[in-house]
Amino acid sequence: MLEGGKISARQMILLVFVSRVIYWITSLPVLLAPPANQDVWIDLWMAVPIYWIVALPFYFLAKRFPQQSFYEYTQAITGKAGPWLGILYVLFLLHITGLTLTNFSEFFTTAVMPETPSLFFVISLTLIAAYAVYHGIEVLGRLSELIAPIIMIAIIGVVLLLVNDMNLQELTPFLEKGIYPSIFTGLSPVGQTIEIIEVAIILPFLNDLRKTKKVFIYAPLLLVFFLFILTFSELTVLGDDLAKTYTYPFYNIVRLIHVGDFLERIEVIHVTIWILGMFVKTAFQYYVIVLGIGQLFHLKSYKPLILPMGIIIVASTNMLGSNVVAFREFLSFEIYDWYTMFFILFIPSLLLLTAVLRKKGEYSK
Amino acid sequence: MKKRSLNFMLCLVLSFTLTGCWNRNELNTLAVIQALGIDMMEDGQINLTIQLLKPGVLQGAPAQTKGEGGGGPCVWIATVKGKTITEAIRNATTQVDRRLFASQNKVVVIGETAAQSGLSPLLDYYFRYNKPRELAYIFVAKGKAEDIINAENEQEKVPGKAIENLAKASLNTSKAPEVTFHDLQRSLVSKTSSSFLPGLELVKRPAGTTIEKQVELCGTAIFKKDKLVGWFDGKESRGLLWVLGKVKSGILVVKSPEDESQKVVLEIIRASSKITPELIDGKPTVTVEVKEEGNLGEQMSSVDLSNPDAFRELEDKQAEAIKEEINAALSKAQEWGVDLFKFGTEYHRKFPAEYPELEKNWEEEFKNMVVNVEIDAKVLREGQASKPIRAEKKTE
Repeated sequence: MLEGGKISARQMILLVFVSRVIYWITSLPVLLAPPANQDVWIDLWMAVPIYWIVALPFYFLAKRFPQQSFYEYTQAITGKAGPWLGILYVLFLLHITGLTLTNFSEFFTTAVMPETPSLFFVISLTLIAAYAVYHGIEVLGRLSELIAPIIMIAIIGVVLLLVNDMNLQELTPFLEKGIYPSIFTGLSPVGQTIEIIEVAIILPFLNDLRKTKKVFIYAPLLLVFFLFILTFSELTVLGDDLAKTYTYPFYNIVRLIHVGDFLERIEVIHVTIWILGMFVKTAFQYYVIVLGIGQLFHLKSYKPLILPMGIIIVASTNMLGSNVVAFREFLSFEIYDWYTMFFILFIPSLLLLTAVLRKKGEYSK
Repeated sequence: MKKRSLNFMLCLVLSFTLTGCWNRNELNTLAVIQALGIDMMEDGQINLTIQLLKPGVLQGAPAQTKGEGGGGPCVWIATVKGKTITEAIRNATTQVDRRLFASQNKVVVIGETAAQSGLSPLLDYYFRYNKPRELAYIFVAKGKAEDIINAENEQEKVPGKAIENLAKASLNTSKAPEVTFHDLQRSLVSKTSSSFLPGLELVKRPAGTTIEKQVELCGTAIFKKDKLVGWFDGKESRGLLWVLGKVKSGILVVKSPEDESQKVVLEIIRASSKITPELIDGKPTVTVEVKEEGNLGEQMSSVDLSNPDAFRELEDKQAEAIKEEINAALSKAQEWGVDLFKFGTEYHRKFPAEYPELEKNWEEEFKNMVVNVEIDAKVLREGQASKPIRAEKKTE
């Protein structure tokens, strides 16, 4: 057994929450997804049903193989092709982790400390994350329980301080392009949420397997609720034209906070939760990568893999894009979402179909 | 034992990371920018005038003006040229020995010629770079920005601070707008709206005073898209602010109802506005409703005005005065074809289907637009004096 720890459903939901929302407090690509106008705040609720649809294959697979992780049942279903599929997923997650760390350091070098080498941020975060990964899933679960409330309070506090600057008129005309584009608006956040694979990987560590359904139902609701808070505040404070112009719209509205003459320049709060959240996000992704290699090669422990994998992760951040423009183009709605959809919807659906046809798993008995 | 010594070593190593940030900025290595003037020269180059703080002098000297035993001026001026703003700022390092620090800068003044050539190229630096604040105030100089930045101030040791305070104090008369970078960005990004900024000019002071010329707020600079097209005086500026609902306070002087030769002052307490766009036979027609509450602030005549009839008459006169200001602003804006009032945005909100057609030719639509102004002005209170001190008996 590679991992003896167990985490609760709440910890798992919060782990997903931190990993995803922390990314949205800087870049918010949903603003650029069609219709890309003032209706995004309402259209994005369409993401909830889309999340549930995308979660269905994972849910049924987990029902069939309750004791196995995503890597393990991939091998059970596809036989000889299993390890190759597993390696594909490890490489995909490695790529995503590289993107995460690039994003982390790009934010710092663009907005906060332009002269510090980005490698410095990447290495220090990877080292701390490696330490968390070393202690296993239980530590990650407790970390999320500790850090998620800080992030929630910070986001809601910041938004409350901005109430004065909000102009609800920015949200009109209401549903200018009708209800149809909301499907695309809903697809954008779902496409970014690769955390759904990570959940499928750590599902067997859930202390009460009957709560699997709860994780898949409540995590999307929490995510979309906070996505709504972020989008709503950015649209009402900046207006949709300006919000789209900024690279880091939420950071810019935090900079705008001024209460009287004394409470201003509190963007350090934003930077603090950014570091905290990115730490959890990186550690989570790091963990599922080394766990994956451990499970694919049937190792006794994944711990010897941590440092070598850390070096690969750090090295990969430098190779992902020639510059920030190329990087952002890859992360845009048109490219990134289809790339991830292949992994979070297409392959899992095929797996489920194969499992049903080949009568694998508990349901077939 | 081995573990303990390892922990000890770890603490020792980690303590090296506590020494501070990577690129730290100590106050004594920084040149803190207090105000920035941007001028366009005849050859197309940018001339930057940078007002820099001398923190040592500010701290050491008592609150006195220069020449009275104080430590001299608290700021000094660097003037640099460059093809772009960034280049000019970098060129400043040849004369400023410290690192320029823009985070504390709350005043940016743009020269008249630079404003005429267009704002957005000048401000890209401000939107892109991470140091300047979105909450800085921005002005247009009548003449050269350099002169405004160079001017001294009687009250404040740092002249830039005085300009910032002028912007904040503008609500007392509402005769000049208060515009931050954030506000300007929002109007520049709009396809139909035009921008406006408060103006500054240098005014000669009477001979014999310590400072020859001082900076004063003067009306509003009006931009077509982002190019300066003209100026609004105080009255027109307030007309503009009435429509936008941004009048916070101010004074309206009207003729006394009983005695035409004397003046009555009405103090504006609060005001709000509502813009209702309509399409009548495809032609845009806008109704502007302004609601205002005022107090009887002062009267020069000795007629007792404290009766309902006189108050009603004052209300009418007040509404008339407000309407006059709004019409002054409207007619000038329509003549220049600048939609300062965000009417275009209102049409987008109410008529999303027709808006794309309107937007194509918005300037013409705006010029030919019929604007109805409706004023609901109230006079509520009269202060602590119910009658003038030498009130005449009303002749019945």
